[in-house]
Amino acid sequence: MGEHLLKQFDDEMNKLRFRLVRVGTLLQQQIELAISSLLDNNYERANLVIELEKKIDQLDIKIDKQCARIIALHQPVAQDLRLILAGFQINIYMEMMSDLATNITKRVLEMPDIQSIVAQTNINKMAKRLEEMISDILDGFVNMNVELAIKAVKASEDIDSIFDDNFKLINSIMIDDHSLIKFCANLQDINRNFQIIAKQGKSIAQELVFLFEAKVVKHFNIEDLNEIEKQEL
Amino acid sequence: MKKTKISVENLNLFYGKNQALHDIIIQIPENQVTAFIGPSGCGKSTFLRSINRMNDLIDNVKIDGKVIIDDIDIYDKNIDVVQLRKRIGMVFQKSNPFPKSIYENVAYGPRVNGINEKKILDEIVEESLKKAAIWDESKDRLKNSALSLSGGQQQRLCIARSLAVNPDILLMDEPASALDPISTSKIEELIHELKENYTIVIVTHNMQQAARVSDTTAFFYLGKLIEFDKTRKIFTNPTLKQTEDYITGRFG
Repeated sequence: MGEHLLKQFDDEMNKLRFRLVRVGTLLQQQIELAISSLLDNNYERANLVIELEKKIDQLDIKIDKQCARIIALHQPVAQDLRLILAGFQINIYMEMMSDLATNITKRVLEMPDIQSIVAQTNINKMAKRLEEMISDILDGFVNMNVELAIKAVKASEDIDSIFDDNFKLINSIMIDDHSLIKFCANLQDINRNFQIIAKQGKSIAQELVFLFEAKVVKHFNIEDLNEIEKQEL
Repeated sequence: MKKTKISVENLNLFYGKNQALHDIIIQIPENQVTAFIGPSGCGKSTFLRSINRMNDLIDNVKIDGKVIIDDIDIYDKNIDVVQLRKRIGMVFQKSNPFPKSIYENVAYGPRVNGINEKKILDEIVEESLKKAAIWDESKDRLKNSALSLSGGQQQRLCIARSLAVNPDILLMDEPASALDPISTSKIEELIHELKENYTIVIVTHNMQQAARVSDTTAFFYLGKLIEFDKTRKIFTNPTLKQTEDYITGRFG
C-alpha cells in the first residue's frame, strides 16, 4: 500500500506489523526450542522456552493496546481495518501457542527419560511438519502471500492425521508395557499440545486469508480453499 | 434489490470548455441513503446539483445525457423546473433560514403552492417540524425568528422547510459539516429516519459520516464516477485500488 497522508498513522501501522512479526519469530524460535528440548533432552533449551514465553506475554499486551489505540484515534477502514481485526486475533492465537509450547517443555522437564519412547512414535514427523507450517505462516504474513497462508491451513489437516497415528501408537505402547503408563500419559499430553498449536496456527493462517483477500474462510473445507487458490493464479 | 429512483445515463457537464463531469452512469435506489464521496473538486456537488437542475442557474453550463427520475427525463425540454424542484428538496452546507419566524419558514413553501388555510398550514408546519426532529425544541416559540435558533437547529429547520412541500427526494450538500458533534448526530439520526419515506442523496467529506448514514456510496474522482456499491462493501473491501487509496487516506 502507498503512503498514508498522515505519517503518524503509517508509523502506527508499521509498528503493529513489526510487533506481530516480532512475536511470530519469537514464537517460531520458542516452538523449535520446545521440539529440540523434547527430541534431544536439552534442559538449557527448555528453560529458554519459558523465558521466551515471558517476552511474548509482554508484547501481547502492547499489541492489544496498540490495536485499540489505532481504532480509537484513526478509525481505519478496508485493508487497514482488516489488519487491526486480524492483528487482534493473531495476537491471541500466538499467545496461546506460546503457552502450549511452554506446557510441552514443562512435561519434558518433568520426564527426563521420555526421549526413548518419543523415538517409537511419529512425534518427530509431527514436529517437523509443524515447523514448516509456522515458517509458511510467517513468510505468508511478511510477503502478503495468500498461497502460503492456504498451504498452512492445509498443513493443519496433515498434522491432525499424524496426531491420530501418534495417539494410537502411544496407546499401544502403554498396553504393551504398563510400567510406561506415566511416561505415555505425558506423551499423549505433548501430542495433544502439538495438535492444538497446529490448530491455532491454522486459525492464524485463516486470518491471513481474511487480511489479504477480505474472505472469511474459517469453516471452509479443502475444496473451497482450492477454489480460492485457483482464483489467485 | 431496491427500486431505482434516479437513473443517470451518460451525463456530461461542461463549465464553458472545462468538462466537470464525464459520462456519469448511476442508478440511485429509492428510499435509501446514497453518499457521494471524493476529494474537493471531484464533481460530487456539481453532480448533486444536476439532479434538481440547479446548474441551469449557472451561465455557460452545458449538460448532455439523461437524468431520469421515476421514468421522466428531467432534462427534457417540456419539464417545468419549478415543479421538478418541488419534488426535490435541497439542504446546503450552511443553514439558510429566511429572516422570518420559525413558522413562516416552514409555511413559506406550501403558501407558494397555494395553500392559505391556516388550519392546514398549522398541520403542515407541525408535521414537518416533527419529521425534522425539531418540533419539541420549537413548538413553544414558533413566532420567534428562525435566526434565534442554534446552527444545528437552523439546519433541521431547513430540512423541515424542504419537507413541507412534500418532496420525494432530498439532496444534502455537506449538511453537517459546520455543526458540532451533537448536532451532527441529530442530523445523522434524522437522515436515518427520513429514508423510510424519502430518497436521500448526501455529499460529504466526512468519510465516517458516509459510512454511518448511507446504504450505498459513490466515489468520484476528477469528474468521473470511479466506484459505486453498497457502503459496507466500499468501506470494507472496495473493488478498485483508487477507492481503497482514497478511503484509507492514501491520496487526497
